[in-house]
Amino acid sequence: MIDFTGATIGFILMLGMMALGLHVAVAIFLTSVLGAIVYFGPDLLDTFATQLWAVMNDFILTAIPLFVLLGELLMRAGVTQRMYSGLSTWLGRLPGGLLHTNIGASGLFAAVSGSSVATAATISTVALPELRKRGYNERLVLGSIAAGATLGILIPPSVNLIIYGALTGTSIGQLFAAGIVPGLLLIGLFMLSIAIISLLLPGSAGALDEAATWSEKVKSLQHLIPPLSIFVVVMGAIYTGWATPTEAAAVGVLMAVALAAGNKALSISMLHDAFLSTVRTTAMILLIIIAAFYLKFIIGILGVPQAMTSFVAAMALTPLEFIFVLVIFYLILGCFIETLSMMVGTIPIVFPLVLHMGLDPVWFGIFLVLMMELALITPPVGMNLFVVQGVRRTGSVIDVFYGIIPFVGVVLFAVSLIIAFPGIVTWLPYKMF
Amino acid sequence: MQPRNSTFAVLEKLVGAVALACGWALLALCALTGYDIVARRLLGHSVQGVDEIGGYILAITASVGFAAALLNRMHTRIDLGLMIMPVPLRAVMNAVAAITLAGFAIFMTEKAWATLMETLEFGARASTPLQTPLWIPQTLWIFGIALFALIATTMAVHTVWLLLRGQFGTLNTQYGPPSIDEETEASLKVTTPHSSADATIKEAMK
Repeated sequence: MIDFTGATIGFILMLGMMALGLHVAVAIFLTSVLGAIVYFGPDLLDTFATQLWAVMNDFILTAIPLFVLLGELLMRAGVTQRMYSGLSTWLGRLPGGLLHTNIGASGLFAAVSGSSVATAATISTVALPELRKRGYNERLVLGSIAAGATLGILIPPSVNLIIYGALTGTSIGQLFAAGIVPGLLLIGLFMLSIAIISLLLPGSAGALDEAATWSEKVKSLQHLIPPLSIFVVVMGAIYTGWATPTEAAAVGVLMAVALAAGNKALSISMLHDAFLSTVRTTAMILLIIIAAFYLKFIIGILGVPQAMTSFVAAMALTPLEFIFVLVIFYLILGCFIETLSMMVGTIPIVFPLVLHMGLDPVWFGIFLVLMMELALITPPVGMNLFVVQGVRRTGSVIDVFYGIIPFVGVVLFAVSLIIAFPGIVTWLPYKMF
Repeated sequence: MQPRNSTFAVLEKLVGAVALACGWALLALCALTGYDIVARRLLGHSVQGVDEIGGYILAITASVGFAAALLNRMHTRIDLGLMIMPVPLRAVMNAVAAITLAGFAIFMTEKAWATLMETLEFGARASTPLQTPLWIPQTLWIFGIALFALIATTMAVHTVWLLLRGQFGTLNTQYGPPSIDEETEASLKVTTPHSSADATIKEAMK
């Protein structure tokens, strides 16, 4: 059995290996191997064989390639620009004008693509030239795109929530349901802050569009309804119990193929591009998951959860203090570690503590995803900031850092809201299931 | 573009072809699932074993994908530490990363092989209505993992070779993690509209 010090040393070794640039999966795996050998001997390594097959042919995890494929198809189906222009018809007159479209389009695109890098890059390409031309405050534009692009991991279907569900044994349907209200809340808060900033600093938003007529608005729906209907059918199938998340993903893929065909974007070469990308991304995720499942298994045998819980119990923290410690922990970790790796590498250690403190596993999943969103947009290394800057090509990334400040504040506020009112997260999933 | 590509051209082609097959298999799985849902809810019968087949497809897709992701430097690494290292040290760490990954891949192959041997010895079948003899999916699964190990090992040897010859720059370009700019570039290539859709989009943007 391992004590708290041993477990902490193991965790620090794992982070150290990651920091030295080893592959994240290897760092997690070597940590597990080290634990197994030091405390039990090399025979324990044979258990890896059963784990490997069991994890890799798990039908629940089959949802991962399917949702990735769904996103890859939609990205190639020519929906982005259509969505953006469609949304601008509806949101263009709010104070802040097209900035709201950035949030809305990012949210929608991120929800369907599941990739914040792709979202930040794509929306930047569409929005930056347009908003520059219209004289918007560039910093605010950059910030709104980087922030909007984080929404995809929270708004279902989210691959990150599937991974969390698989690693912790939490219902993926419940997690998806739990992401909806906080996702909408976050969109609302982003838009509210844009409106407030635009009203306080009148120069920050560009000239507003002419109000769209109702016929234009109705016409623009043809660009919004197809991607929205995929979202509704996928989520609807899960909630009504017609389909498991994996099956719903399959239906989504079929709809995406039809949508691409409707947009005349479907071709064999387009499908093949999407396939290759899907296979690679799936493998990238699976390699880390395999290592993480093994770490979880070894950690369980070593008694790390017991060691950690007795240590935390001795500190006599209240749940609120414990959550506060977690916020700090993830804020710091998020500055250094890629978000998926951060989630997967910490769940085996943190999750038993979460249960011990009596926190709700569904709530914690959403909390964790919000912390990942923060990691994506907090300087100095938030991934999204650099992606947006990469598309912009001019000026300094410092502009993006300034632009993101209000949105970091908004996400932190959202985190404090779900801490103060956990019902924001748990109300819908427990009502539905 | 890179000399490495010629070294791996044959393997790259093989991996690409199998990956495409996996993609088609995923799409077929979607069609089968779609039919199963309709049949289950409306026609009152169901297709047996869609979930089981889906599991096998995941196992094979991921195992082949390991190699495909490796060839595209997609396996996640944190580059924060590497960026502040001097060039020679970065080269050493890129080589260490390649070697440890090869070690992991070989370990996986060995354990997967043990699993297959056990399956064959007991003639194990899935405990499902399909009663699939497990050696069928597992053989394809091992093929992917072994391919991953083969490529990872070749790369590891190559990094050592580059290291010994002092070609740190080449090593860092070919085996370092891709920069954010490269990743951005890659995702833009995807979403920049295809020529056929281009005109329609311009129309829509008006």
